[in-house]
Amino acid sequence: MSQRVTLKAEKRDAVGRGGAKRLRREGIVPAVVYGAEQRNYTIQISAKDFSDVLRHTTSENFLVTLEIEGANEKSKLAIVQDYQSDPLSGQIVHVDFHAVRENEEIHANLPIVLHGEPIGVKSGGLLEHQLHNLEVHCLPSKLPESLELDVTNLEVGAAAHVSDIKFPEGVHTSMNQDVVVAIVIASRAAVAAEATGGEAAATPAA
Amino acid sequence: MPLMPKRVKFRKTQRGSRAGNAKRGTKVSFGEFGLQTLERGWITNNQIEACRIAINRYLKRKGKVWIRIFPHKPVTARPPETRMGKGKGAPEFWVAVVRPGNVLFEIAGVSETAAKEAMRLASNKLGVRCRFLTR
Repeated sequence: MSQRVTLKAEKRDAVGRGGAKRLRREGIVPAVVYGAEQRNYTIQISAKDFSDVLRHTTSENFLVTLEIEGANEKSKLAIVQDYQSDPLSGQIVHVDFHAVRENEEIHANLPIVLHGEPIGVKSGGLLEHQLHNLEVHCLPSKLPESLELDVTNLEVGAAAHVSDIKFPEGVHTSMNQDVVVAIVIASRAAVAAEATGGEAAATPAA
Repeated sequence: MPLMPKRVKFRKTQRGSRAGNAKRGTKVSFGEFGLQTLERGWITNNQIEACRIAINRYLKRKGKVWIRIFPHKPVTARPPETRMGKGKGAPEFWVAVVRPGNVLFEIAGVSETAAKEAMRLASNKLGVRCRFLTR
């Protein structure tokens, strides 16, 4: 299960570009909370706290318990739906929190982590990881941190599909089961070596 | 075959704007490692080709390389010792406009040390400062 972290937040009045910039200068990240059964409202969180949480998680969609000062509901369960960061400085610019309920299914994008060294790679192939994230549906309490896929048995030309992923109990996906997650292909160096080897073998005969 | 568009609507373009930072193409999306530009500039088709060769030569054709930029923009030049006037020069080469944050190349299937060295060799071919990125 993914770790559930608690983040302290405050209700935010500073809106718009100017207000948001002022907050960012003070080390605060503007954020928004939205959900199906509530009105959207703006909050602010500490940039350092959020960065620390991000550093310790592999998934970009993870559950947080927001303790919001100044809001009607003091504690709110939410999933980090999205966050924007500056591509150069890495500074977090804005965070979207999607309020969820414990008993309602949520959608989350989870990273797929490959395990093991494929047989094909040992014999000169190249493991190509094609699908890095997968959208899953589950209850918040069942949300894993990542999905794991064992690729040890893949030979050159073989592929691992979505159907090969072992989903934890209560977690499922709507993605087509035939979608390729990882494939072992012959590396260009191996193909070239094979071609020259074939030519060399053919030359003395001719 | 130089890296250039197959067909363009207009043969000659004005210089255009390079202001601001990159908004798209700023993350490592295909491979495991990337080379990100920290400056703005024009990267010519010859520079891109030189980078590709440098990376492939160092990796000995192992791994997989993605080129994330494409030279869409034609640059014209006037022949030497010509008088002013008589219209705009002929298209000479093609450039990719890059802004700070753009990921230029990506690599997968090799160790981090090898990828780092390959990217260092590639960045030596460019006129913009770059940094190494990991997914």
